[in-house]
Amino acid sequence: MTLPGALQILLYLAVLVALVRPLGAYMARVYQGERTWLTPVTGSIERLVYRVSAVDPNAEQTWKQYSLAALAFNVLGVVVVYVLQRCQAWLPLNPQALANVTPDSAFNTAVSFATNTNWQGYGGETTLSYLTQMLGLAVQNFVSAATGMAVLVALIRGFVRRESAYVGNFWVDLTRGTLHILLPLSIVLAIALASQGVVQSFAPYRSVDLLEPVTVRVPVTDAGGRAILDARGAPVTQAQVITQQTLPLGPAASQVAIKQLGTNGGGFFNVNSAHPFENPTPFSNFLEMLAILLVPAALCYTFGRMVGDTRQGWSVLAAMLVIFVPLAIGGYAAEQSGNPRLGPALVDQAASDSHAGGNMEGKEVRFGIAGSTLWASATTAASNGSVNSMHDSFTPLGGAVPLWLMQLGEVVFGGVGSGLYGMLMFAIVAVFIAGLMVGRTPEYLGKKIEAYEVKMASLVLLIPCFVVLLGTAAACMVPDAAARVGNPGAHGFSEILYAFSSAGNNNGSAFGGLSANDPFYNLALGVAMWLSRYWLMLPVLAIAGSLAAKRKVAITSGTLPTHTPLFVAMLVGIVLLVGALTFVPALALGPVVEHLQMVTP
Amino acid sequence: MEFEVAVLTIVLCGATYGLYWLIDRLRGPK
Repeated sequence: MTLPGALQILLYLAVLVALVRPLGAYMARVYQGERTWLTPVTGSIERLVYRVSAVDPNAEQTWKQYSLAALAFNVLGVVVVYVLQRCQAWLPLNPQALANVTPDSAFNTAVSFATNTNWQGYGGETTLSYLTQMLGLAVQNFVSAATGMAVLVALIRGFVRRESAYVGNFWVDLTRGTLHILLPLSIVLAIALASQGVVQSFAPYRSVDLLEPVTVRVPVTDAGGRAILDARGAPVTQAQVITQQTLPLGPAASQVAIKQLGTNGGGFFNVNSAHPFENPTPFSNFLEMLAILLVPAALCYTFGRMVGDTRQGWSVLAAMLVIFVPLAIGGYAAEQSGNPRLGPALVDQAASDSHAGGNMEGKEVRFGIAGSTLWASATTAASNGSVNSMHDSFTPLGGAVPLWLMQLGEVVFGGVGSGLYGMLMFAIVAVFIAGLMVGRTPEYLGKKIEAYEVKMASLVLLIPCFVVLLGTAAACMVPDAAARVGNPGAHGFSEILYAFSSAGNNNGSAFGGLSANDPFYNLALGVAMWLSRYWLMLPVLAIAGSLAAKRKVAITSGTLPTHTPLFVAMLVGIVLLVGALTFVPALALGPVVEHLQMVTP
Repeated sequence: MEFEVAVLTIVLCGATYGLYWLIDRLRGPK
């Protein structure tokens, strides 16, 4: 590790933690329907939305009505994004005249953005029109994030309310989350990013002359477009001089802002935040990285405020940090120590004033090792999935960090809303196990945790594991799917495992190397994203309904305090144990084997 | 492929509704 790298990580954590309380308190006021300093602006828009959509903001919903509203809204989102992609060639704001997207890719992308995953099997600048990016993807970036936050708020109300049949109103929570929280934050961030050079334009792509023409060798093709092979079966090539480059443009700043804040992660351009028009400077990198964890971290404080004991929120945040910080530092150390196989090739991997040292393959020089690995940890700890470096090029252990962070269930910060409700499911399991140890009925936040809640929490914990492992196994067994890896052996297995870990936990980042834009992966990953979003949301809302209907029990000397270091340690232990027991065998076949191959002479 | 995608979406919606129904049933009589 280098001093500047360590300072970057420290500064990042300090700014993040400093923002938790003000933003968390603001979000609590929003969801409790209290007046905020933005109410004069957003309040009238909110009332207009209710009037236009015929929503009674005072009407409460049971968990079943809340679930059906959330599901119906999300299915509608999938359909709209799908149709937009399938019709984009005939719609406006398509200056590059891009063709309609294929059905399997359109399905994958529609599910991906509606589920807040933002896995991208396509390349943004070569596939999607400006209209599809704005009306389809950016809108889903807002509402899918607001859906996750709404479900979390319904769960919190379950803890707060006594003997109530209702958990809130989905339409109100969705509108408040979008209008009062995500939209203002996005406007501020978009302007800050545009000031750094992130593009925001409706102009067509621009062709510019290269300062220095480049000569490349390209395959010679026959009249049918097939490559001509020589006697040895190798493609015949010819020299081609490249004198021009196409610069993609588009309304990127506005989309990048919400992609980070809403833990969406879907890049405007194919290489995501490694692209200089999406993330041009170290400062824009810091802002975008901060935006990844900002809302999920602040929601912990919102949770504490809403349940009337901020210590509960801080203890959950502490558990997240206890897992996140060592893994982020471990990933950084693995990349900074470089690749021992390159030593004999006389590659200088020592950090110096002139270069970052370590393993710089797949990383941008303007971000360096710390700015790349901290992003990789943050983006996979949260279910963001945007990247500013290619995770496929990380060292085996450096790549194992983002992989395992996703496999922990996206509860270490996780998605906006979904991360915290996932962590609260682990908390329910933790108090259940603690209750078993001392022979008492477990309680959490004054509510008895009984068989039904534990069954539902177990579903939330186990469904993503099932989806990831089964999907990976299926892809390895289907010859055409297994053949689409970029590397043979352990690394190829890691590429498949990463893809299903990403989709099966609604992260959306890609390891790279795997050519996943084919019908098998588009459909299989689409199913994985769907199940891991909606099949988890339902049991969480069922728990919300069940808890809301219960009485509060009095705190006695036998009640397990859930704001103490002991409980934080238990919570961390359960998260790590479930993650380790489920995924270490699979990790042993991928990054662990690859690491041993790398260090063995 | 359009047909397969439509069928898959309907199956997913149906399966999700099935889970919703099952979760509600698991609560038992109240």
